[in-house]
Amino acid sequence: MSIGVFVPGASALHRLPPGLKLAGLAVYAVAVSLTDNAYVMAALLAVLGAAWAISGIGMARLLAALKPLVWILAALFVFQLAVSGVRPAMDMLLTVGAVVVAAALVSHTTRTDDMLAALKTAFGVFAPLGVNAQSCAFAVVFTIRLVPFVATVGREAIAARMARGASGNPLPAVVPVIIRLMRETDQLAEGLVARGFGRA
Amino acid sequence: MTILIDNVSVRFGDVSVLEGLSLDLRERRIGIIGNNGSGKSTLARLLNGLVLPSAGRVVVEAFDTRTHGADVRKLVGFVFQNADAQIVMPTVAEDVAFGPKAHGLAPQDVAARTEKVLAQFNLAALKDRACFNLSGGEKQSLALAGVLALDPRWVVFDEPTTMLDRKRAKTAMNAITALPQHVIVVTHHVELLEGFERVIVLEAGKVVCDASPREAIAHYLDTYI
Repeated sequence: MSIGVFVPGASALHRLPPGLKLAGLAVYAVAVSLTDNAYVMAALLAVLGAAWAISGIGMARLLAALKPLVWILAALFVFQLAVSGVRPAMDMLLTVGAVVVAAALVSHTTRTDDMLAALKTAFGVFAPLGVNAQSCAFAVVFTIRLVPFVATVGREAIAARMARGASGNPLPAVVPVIIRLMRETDQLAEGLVARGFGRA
Repeated sequence: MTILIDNVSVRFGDVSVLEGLSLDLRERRIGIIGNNGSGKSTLARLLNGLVLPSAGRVVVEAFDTRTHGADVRKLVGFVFQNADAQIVMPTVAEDVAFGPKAHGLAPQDVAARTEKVLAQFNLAALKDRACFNLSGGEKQSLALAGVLALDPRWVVFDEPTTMLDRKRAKTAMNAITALPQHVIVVTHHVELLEGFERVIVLEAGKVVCDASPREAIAHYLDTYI
């Protein structure tokens, strides 16, 4: 999975200010989540496709961004289909897929340092309320850093179940995945402290 | 250059992990061995303030780990058994630069150190590569590069060869022993401590032998294996 990794380039998207890209991502996510008009959704998807093409990042990375989501999207789609019907299930599928691809696009065209600086400025608005802008910015970046890792842990948990004769159904693997992620994030936190982040 | 461990005990809840430990570490190559649960990883974590003593104190070149954690971590780098645990940024160059930035170095110093360390570990060609796509060996190199970018005086390795085959373990140990820094290695692979100046054997949270490698390893193998 390639989300969260900057891909060097000189496209217009690469040159846009990081704050603008993050704000655009937020607006885009809200727009695809709220719209219930098929034409508007099609237009939003077309905008995303055009932006991806402009970035020059290539189709291989687009597929790489979507590939690990297949199981999760499939499970959510089946659940929505059973509970709410075809249209809501399709809406969910397109919404989640579009937001993930848009987030991947922003992360591919923005250096981590630039993203940190933009986030720090954004969270700085809440500094009078006692919010530590730097910690919040790092939390967002580390969350992105963990996305590929979470996908790997999920795949390993499903594979481990299948190796012991279970089906490939991902839902029973959720608990072991969460437990392992908690342990791994503890280790990552220790790694952060060891390298000078946080604790005085 | 010394690390002083002064009558240190560590407890996690009701469990005593280290008990009344006193050591004066000043040699350039020190090994720490012991069975699982003997407290050796906790001892390693005491040295750069990842674990704080429940009683007693740890002092690294005049800095107490309890009151000067940030200063201690500049002096003592820590390399984890699992490289993934300390790779915190998405790409190789960003990860190497993380430590110097976290310690507040000027941007030009961060860039210079990053470039130097990437070249030193043959990682320059991979600088824009996603860390999670690296091979196991490359991740280990990156983990060490990230620590050395801080230019520490001491480097503590927590079981650096446990996940490696014998050939890679030997290669890793050769790289470790070639470092100019003071090195402290926690390991099960006692044969890799050949050439070290001092080996400490832990059992049940206490030092049971503190001697030359030959003597300490013989004691460990005769008594506990």
